[in-house]
Amino acid sequence: MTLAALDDAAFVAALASEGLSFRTGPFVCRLSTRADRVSESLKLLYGDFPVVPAAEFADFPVQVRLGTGLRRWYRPQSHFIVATQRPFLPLPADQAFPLLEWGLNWCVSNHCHQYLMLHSAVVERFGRALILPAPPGSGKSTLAAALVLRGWRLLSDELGLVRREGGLIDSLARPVSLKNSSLPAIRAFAPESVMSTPVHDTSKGTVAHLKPPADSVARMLEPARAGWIVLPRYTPGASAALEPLDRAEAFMALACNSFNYGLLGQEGFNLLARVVDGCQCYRLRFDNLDQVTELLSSQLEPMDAG
Amino acid sequence: MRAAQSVLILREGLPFRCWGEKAVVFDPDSGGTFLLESVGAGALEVLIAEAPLAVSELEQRLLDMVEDPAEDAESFRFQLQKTLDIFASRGWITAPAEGL
Repeated sequence: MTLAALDDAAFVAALASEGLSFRTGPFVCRLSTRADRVSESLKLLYGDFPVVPAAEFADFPVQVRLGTGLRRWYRPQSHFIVATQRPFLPLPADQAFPLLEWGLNWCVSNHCHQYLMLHSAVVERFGRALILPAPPGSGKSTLAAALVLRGWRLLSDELGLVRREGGLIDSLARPVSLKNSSLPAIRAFAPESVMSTPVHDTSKGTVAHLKPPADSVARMLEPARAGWIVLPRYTPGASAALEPLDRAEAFMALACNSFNYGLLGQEGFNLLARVVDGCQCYRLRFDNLDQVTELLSSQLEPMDAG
Repeated sequence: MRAAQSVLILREGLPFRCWGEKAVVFDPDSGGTFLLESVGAGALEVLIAEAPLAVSELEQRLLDMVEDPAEDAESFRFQLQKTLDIFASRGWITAPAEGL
């Protein structure tokens, strides 16, 4: 059963009581909240995600709790809680859903060292993963959103989960975080895309989340082998262009954009080298989304194709 | 990554991977990973096995790897100078790379 299949009363009741468990790739999240903004966005964006029985172990038991007392009336706040931990300061109540998304990213990036975790968007085609490592502001989430809206499969817009045994990449396929000028750009690029209501004045500016394609969610337990590493750079006015990149430089870019490479020591080095060995590596500059999706879809072929 | 600014002391047994003229080396002591430019796989293997090296030794090692240095002397000396400059600037060899 999916979240969308639950009737509204059962959905809200589960969230407000013991919590609603659902699967996001290899993880089970159990969410409790009474925040309308969270339940509405959850139903809109996570509708295709499978519900997990409440008795099943939850990797991340999380709550998004609204402030109590006078805070309910004066500048209401939302709190993110995982188990008994509050990793963030409270945010304004209208940021409750982005807070949940950021909180879930924090849960994975701080706890899931069974993976080598890359700070990158990852999409898939032909069974091969395209890894887009980049610091914030490089346009990787926007590019990932555009690619999945043109038929690539979403693995993640933020976290590349490389298995320490075998090097396959697992999928998270959660909603894609978009901000500021990306929002009208994606709306113009794909008017049929489904997004949450934009939230203004966050620490990242105006943010909204894009619903992941149903096919990406349905295949979220299907890993992919790394096929390409592309360092994206949004460059206003530039024509989309791919430029070959030395594997050693691609290695360093991945290492620098990893959450736990340093923690894994030599094992991380060997694993990353193996990933790079299996990839074609490029730098990419882009502006126009139609142009860049066409370029990547036409130019990137698996090394073993044909 | 830790120790991004530290100096790598080349020594036997350091894990490395070389692709073309560039290589990455992992230093288990510092946890740092280093990008080495303008070194071939053979040169890196020799240097890691023997470093730290004096310039004269380094030159001899590189010469030993070339079948006939006289045939392509200019290219060899250019490559050697480039390698020495990079290594000397990072403190990986024991004398300045001068006077070639």
